[in-house]
Amino acid sequence: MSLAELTKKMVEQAVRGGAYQAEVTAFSMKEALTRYTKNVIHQNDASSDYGVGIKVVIDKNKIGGATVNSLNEKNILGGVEEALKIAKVSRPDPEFKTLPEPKTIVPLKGAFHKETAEYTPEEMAEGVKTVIENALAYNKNVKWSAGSFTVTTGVLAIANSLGVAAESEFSEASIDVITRAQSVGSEGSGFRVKRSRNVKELDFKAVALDAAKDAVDSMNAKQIPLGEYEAVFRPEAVSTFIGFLGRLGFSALVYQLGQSFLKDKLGTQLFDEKLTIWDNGRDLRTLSPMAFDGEGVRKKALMLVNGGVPENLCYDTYTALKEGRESTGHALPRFGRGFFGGMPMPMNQVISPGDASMDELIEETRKGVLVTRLHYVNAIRGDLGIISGMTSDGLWFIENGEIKHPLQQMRFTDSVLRVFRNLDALGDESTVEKTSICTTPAIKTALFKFTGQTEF
Amino acid sequence: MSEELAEIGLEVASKLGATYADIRFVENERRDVGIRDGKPERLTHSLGSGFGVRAVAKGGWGFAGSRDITSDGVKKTVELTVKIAKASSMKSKGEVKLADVPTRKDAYETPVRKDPMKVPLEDILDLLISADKAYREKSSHIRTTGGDVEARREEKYIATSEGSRIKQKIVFCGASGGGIVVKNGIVQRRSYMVTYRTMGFENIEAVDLAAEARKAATEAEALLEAEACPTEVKLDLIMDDWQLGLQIHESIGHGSELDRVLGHEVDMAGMSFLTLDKRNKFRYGSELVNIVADATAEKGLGTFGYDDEAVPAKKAYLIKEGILVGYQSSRETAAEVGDKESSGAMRADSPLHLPLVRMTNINLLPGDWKSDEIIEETKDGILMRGEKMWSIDQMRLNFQFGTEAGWLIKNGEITKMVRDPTYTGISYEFWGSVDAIAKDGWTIHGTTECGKGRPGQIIYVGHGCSRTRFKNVRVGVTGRL
Repeated sequence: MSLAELTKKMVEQAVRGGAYQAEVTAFSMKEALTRYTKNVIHQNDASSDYGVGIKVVIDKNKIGGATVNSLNEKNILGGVEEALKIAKVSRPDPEFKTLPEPKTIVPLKGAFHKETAEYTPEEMAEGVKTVIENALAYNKNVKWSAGSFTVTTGVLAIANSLGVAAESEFSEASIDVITRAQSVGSEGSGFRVKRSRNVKELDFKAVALDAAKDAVDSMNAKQIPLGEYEAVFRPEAVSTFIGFLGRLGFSALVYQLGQSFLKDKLGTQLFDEKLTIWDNGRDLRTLSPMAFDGEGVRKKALMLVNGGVPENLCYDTYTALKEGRESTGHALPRFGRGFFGGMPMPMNQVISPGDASMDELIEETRKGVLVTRLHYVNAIRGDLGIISGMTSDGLWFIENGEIKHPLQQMRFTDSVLRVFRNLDALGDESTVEKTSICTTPAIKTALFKFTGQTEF
Repeated sequence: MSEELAEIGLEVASKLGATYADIRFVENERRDVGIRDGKPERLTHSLGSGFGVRAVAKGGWGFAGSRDITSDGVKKTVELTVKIAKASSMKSKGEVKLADVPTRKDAYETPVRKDPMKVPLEDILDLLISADKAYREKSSHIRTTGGDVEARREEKYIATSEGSRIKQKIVFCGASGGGIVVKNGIVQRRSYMVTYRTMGFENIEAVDLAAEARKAATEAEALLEAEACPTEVKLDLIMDDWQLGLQIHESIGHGSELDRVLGHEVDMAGMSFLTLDKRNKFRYGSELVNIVADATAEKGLGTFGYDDEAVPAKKAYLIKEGILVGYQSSRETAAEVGDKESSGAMRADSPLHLPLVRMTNINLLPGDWKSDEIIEETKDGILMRGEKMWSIDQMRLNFQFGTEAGWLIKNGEITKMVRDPTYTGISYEFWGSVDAIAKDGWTIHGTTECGKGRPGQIIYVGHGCSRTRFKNVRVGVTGRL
């Protein structure tokens, strides 16, 4: 039985069981991961997962849910009964209006590549071997590489009792590399990552050499005084900021709970006018395009920030109907990627690039830093966009347009709003990278506050 | 059924050339009852089952997990595991060494008086809604409130090619709630909880949740009127709730995981400054600081009978009188550093995930102070409570935390509440500054949300602690708006 058939069958079962409305999400997913450190593979996994998520509505607004991760048909169909049982003793949710109505969904071509699905354990180990050997060959000071090579393929299907029926295949592959260079009394670390839906597009040699160069260039790091600096962020670091913009600001749920930094700011010039961000689940430039969201609502382009002005929020059906709107197609699947199951979120953001090359972003910096990526970032004041975290794997001091020397890693505490309000420049197409949540160029900001030092 | 399939799987692994193999069957059940603003928001029952196989072949590791619990499914998954292990040998160390563990046939079960899976949903909803109502009655500036009860049952059967056969059933539950209050543009949060423990529903029933809610709501209202925490000052910091557990978790717990020390997690969570050369030499904390990894602690969330390598639960010092003396390990990482035994820390959050070195109960042992005396003998300090924000670097050195509430202490007395407190430091300097640990009020706190590894795994761990004072801490780090 296909997942589409299974979801339809389970919805019918729920309705026969007395559900006023019902929604079933099903997925099957194969993941392979080859993880390596200090030039050897230390973890090599494969998994084949399968599950269903059931949401039933009784008496117009009493809701129950169940998930089942099993191939056992009795368990799977038992999930419907469990959800019905829960809904029957639940309490009414007066703000629940309805599940989404069906609309035509144009299938999306290009979200799945069979080359990724057919990749073998031997090919994965070979890819890692290529990374390790090229990193070691780059320079005598390169001592070891570490990282992960992941390949994921799957199918997601959603159906509801109002007629929504959607199914789509997806694939993803990524190779990330941390390389360490060491010499007497000094260590440098470089990090690079490449992602694609088609595993054959990953260039293992290029990613290995880039990380190795950064590792060598990071040796003999110094410290600079804490304080405010100009900062150039590579795309992986920008992606962290974009993630916090979505989570702290553009989710309609956060906004409705009064915690969004966008409260009273929609339609105002909150960011620099060079910043334009839209979200489009159908945009093949993003890593994980999908024609529909976690409720089976079709995805389409949504302008989030237009010339520095925040224009729209991301809604699912529940949050949209609270305001008498239509869902924008931003419900995450019950078995979504990430930890934000109950919150509508932008997951396919595209940041409009500028016209500066990476070299030009650096040349335009009088006194600042070049940041590769950020580590363990968390929000201190979500309503003000204030976050804190560490830089990681490649940090350099820039003076008068030139990289002067590598830096030991530093802690920052700053507002993500301020980062984009003081945007000096965006990188051009040559700097654009696909990350897990956005496709973004490098950026340069005029002010970024470092508040702590560490010892490496 | 699992027993028979396990024997089939181990036999296939052996025939295919595996020099070591284990197979772990898991059934897990989870119950989530969540409310928001007094009405049900997330009422979900989850059931999962599957198995995972580890194997060593040609000196490489392989792991595969599947939901297909049939004879054919087991055979195919074992074949894939061995194929992966052989592919690993393309870039392996050439040999896998495992610390010895006596083979055992045993069973373990969490002592439970009231099965949390069988408590009527209506009763749990009543409990949460009553607490939510109590919170709302004490606060007039509420933007939103919420509450949750989570309960889990995890049953495992582990069989190793060395002969161990272990059955295990772990049950735990806990509850939490809180609210967001807003006044004049100031947004504050104050939470309450019944910490997660390996117990039945009696864990939750032992606490007056509505009383906890009223107390939290009163403090939430007070936060709206409180001054902001002083910025960039040095104060003596006192902690006595889950926030101290979180500090132990981030700076000591993760820092002493041997797989991190050896670089296995460098691509995700990072490594550790607690390098092997520091063992038995490095002063991590003051002489008052004694930290144990204790999977045997009664009712701790990290308490079990055996880990996922069939190693029996243990208690061992990580830090003794301030000196780093041990690590949390697996059989492989223990052997790699010359330890005779694993610390018994290998756990996975799913049958489809590989077991990793995970915290059990990482506990700060009690001291000899009375809790009240710690406040009374503090000249210029701050008491912080309620986890709000946490961040730490890849080597577990530089950290920064924020809490929901703070209370300034002057000359032995709590003088006033402050909002948005933060503190920062370097781990070994911070723990080296401990000058008082209480003997009373020692509690094992639990979190169900410890993240680690690739693919990402979320597991449950415990942290025991009592009121503790840290001298001269940097408080009030702020960002720019």
